[in-house]
Amino acid sequence: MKQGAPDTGHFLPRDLPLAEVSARVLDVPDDFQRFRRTWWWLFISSCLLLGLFVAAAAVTLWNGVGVWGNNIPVNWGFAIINYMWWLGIGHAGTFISALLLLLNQPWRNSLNRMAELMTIMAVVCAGIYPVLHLGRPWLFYWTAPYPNTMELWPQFKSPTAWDFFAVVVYLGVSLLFLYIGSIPDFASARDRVSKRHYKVFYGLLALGWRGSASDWSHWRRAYRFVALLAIPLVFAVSSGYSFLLDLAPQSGWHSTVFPPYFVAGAIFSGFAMVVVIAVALRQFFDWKLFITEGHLDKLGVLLLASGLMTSYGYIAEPFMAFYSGKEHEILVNISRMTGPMAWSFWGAILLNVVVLQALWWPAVRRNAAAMLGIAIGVLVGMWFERYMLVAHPPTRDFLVSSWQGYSPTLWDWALFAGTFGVFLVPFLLFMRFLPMISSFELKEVLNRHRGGDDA
Amino acid sequence: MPDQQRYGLIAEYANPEALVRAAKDARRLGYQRVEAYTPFAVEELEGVLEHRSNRAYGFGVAGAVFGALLGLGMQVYANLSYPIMVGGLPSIALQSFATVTFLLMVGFAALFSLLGLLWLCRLPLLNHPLHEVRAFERATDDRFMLLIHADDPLFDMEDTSLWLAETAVSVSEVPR
Repeated sequence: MKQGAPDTGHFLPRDLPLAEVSARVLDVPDDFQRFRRTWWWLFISSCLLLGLFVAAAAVTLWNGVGVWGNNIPVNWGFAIINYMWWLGIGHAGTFISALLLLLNQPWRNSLNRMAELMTIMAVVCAGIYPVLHLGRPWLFYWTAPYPNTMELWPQFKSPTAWDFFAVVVYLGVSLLFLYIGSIPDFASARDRVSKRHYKVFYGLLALGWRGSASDWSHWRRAYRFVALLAIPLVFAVSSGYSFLLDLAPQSGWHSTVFPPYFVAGAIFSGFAMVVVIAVALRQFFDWKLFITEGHLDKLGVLLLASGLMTSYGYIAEPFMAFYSGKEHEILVNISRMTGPMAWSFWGAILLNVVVLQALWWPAVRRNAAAMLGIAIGVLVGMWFERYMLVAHPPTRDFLVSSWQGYSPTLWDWALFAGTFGVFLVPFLLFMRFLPMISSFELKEVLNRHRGGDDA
Repeated sequence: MPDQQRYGLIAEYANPEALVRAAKDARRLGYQRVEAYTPFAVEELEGVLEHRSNRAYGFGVAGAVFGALLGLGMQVYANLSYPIMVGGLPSIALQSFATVTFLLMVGFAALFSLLGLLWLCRLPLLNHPLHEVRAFERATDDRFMLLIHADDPLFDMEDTSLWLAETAVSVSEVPR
């Protein structure tokens, strides 16, 4: 393979044959022997985590949410911290894919499929939390406007009602975007696999796609149209869940900084997860050809940029508290930095702001191990941020008599660890059965950058 | 002379440029029922084969209008049906309805886009004469195909296949 900086926008060797892309991406399910051993180890560990989730959820359902650490005054605790954390992560997949598609960035095509699949599972993990937190989860459909004889409807002036729609619509649109973008790849896989049952599986998913020129002209328009809608949707959903906090009169929450602060934080944590997934798949499938140092470099720049926007939030939020001059706002902010939960504030600063600055050096951005370390740090740091934002302010309520601490219980931790099983088990199945790189889009940019007729 | 036994003739090319040249030639020679099959979108073909329909956008826009009306209508109806007086807001507080209206607009626009795409491509259609042709298996992989339909007025089994074979890697007959 060629050394040095490739001059193509997709960072792949200019003369990479199209068949090579198919062989290394689409033939994975047919020819899985090489990966089988590692895959089974990962799958069994993930199934154990999923088992932990089932156990923790069963304990919660049997005993009620009392087994969790949240109580008055901190009645949101882990349920909402982890909901926001997972939902934030879920924001990057669709965003990175749609934005880079519209900006015509050829390197996107190595990363978009895995990022979109990551989004789906992250949103599912997020969505589980509010449902379990309801206390009577089997009545969760009460949050939807369904026809009933009592003429009772959701309270549409409340952000909790908006949030239900936000999560459902975001999951739906992400799935549609992923599916439209995958139909041609399912067709390619259908026509390449040799085993009959795989042919049927991909054939049903491909719906009979044949790739005629007229089909492509409609597909291009539909795909771009949905991408155009997905970008404002990302902003609406992540500022939407900030309303859960900032429309309450609680000091430390009641701030107009929150919507943009949450959009930046969501995209930041999601980019970190994209880095983790990209580095992991690059290692697992030996895809250094497709996910090059150039890709890691671009992801590093995106991570740094969104991290700096989040850092601005860390400055703007306390600044607004002090600038408001409200005694209680200032008190809550000082206690956030010096009180019993100060570890979460300073942990977020350390991992999301200080360590992140290493990404200014191109050598760090091009180093897969360093990128993985920084990205995992950002994921932990963003969890600290959610902790300090959600759990801390209610511990310093307006009445000193209601000041209370918060500590999660064993079942809180078990459920949180279990959601990684909810995320990983389907994701490993995707790795086993779906094309994790958009092979037809890679072929398109390979062809576009070949520079004319090479026949 | 239209042919009843066959679906058409399919020619295989090694790269998109050759396919575009062949499609242009076919149009110049007067073939009307011509279609190209490629593993990825080749934008140049849209001009050659006159596939410039923007109907795919129409479905998305219709979905957006439907979703916005549904979202707003649902919230107005719910608040008239069972008014909840809270926070000094009027019964119909349009500002608070903006979020759900926008979300449903985007949701239905995306849904209609997919359904519209399937309708325009006439999918799902799992069985098709082209799938009977062995060469066609690579049309979704790394080959670029040109199909001349058998019901084209200029279609002639012998002449058309000879003409296609001048430039193509292979020419196959597509049985009906």
